[in-house]
Amino acid sequence: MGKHDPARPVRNDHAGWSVLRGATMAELRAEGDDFLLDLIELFFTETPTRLALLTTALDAGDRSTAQRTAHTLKSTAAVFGADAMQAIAAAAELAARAGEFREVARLLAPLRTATEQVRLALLAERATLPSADAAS
Amino acid sequence: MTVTALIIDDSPFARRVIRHHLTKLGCKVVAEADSAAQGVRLFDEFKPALVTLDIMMPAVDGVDALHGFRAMRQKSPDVAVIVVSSVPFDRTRDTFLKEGALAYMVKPFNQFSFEPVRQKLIRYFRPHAA
Repeated sequence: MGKHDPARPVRNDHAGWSVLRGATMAELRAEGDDFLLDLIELFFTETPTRLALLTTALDAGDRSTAQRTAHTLKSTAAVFGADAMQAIAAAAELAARAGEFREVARLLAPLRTATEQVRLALLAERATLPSADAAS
Repeated sequence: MTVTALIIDDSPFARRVIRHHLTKLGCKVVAEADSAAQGVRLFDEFKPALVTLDIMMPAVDGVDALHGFRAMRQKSPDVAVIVVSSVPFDRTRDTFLKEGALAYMVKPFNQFSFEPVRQKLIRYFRPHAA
């Protein structure tokens, strides 16, 4: 396997959008392993909670919470250059702001899929970090 | 002199990123808050010289970012406040800058986001070194 080119996306999903943008991940790696590891661990702990909160907000017809939660998921995706996840979360945020709950509900499954793809990519990334090896 | 800093942001990601970059700038992060209300309480306790404040946080206990900003500036007019937002609203930016914010930063941050802030912090805390 050749040396990883930081300008290339780490992985691509079938829609052609980067799961994790290569340039963004290269920037994060350059800031230090411990920093990147902290961000990855935050993703693992935070995003399931946010997805659950979005579902609950939908069920309750809580527009404000749905919008805010989708916004948070969008921001989280932006940290890693997770373009597909970010785009879907942004669409969910807009739909929630407009009170279009049916549209938010429709976007939940693709958002979960995109989030899972990011999670798997970050798992692979974490496995390459020396700090992760030392901690495990 | 080490600049003590308080980070106020409801996103744990944002708090982690800001803490990383402030530490790189030589600041000491003394506390973190996830709401403006908690931020004001921690401001009273730790009396930091610098505060970063997310202005998009929802109000908690009736305190939103602008209320928190004004409360801290009233208690300590010299405190340097950097306001942070995920959306570059010109009017909001102008409001906070007019009320004395040191800088306005837009998320997401990258490796270059904090350079303008670094220059402003040097001018603010070490005017003779600028």
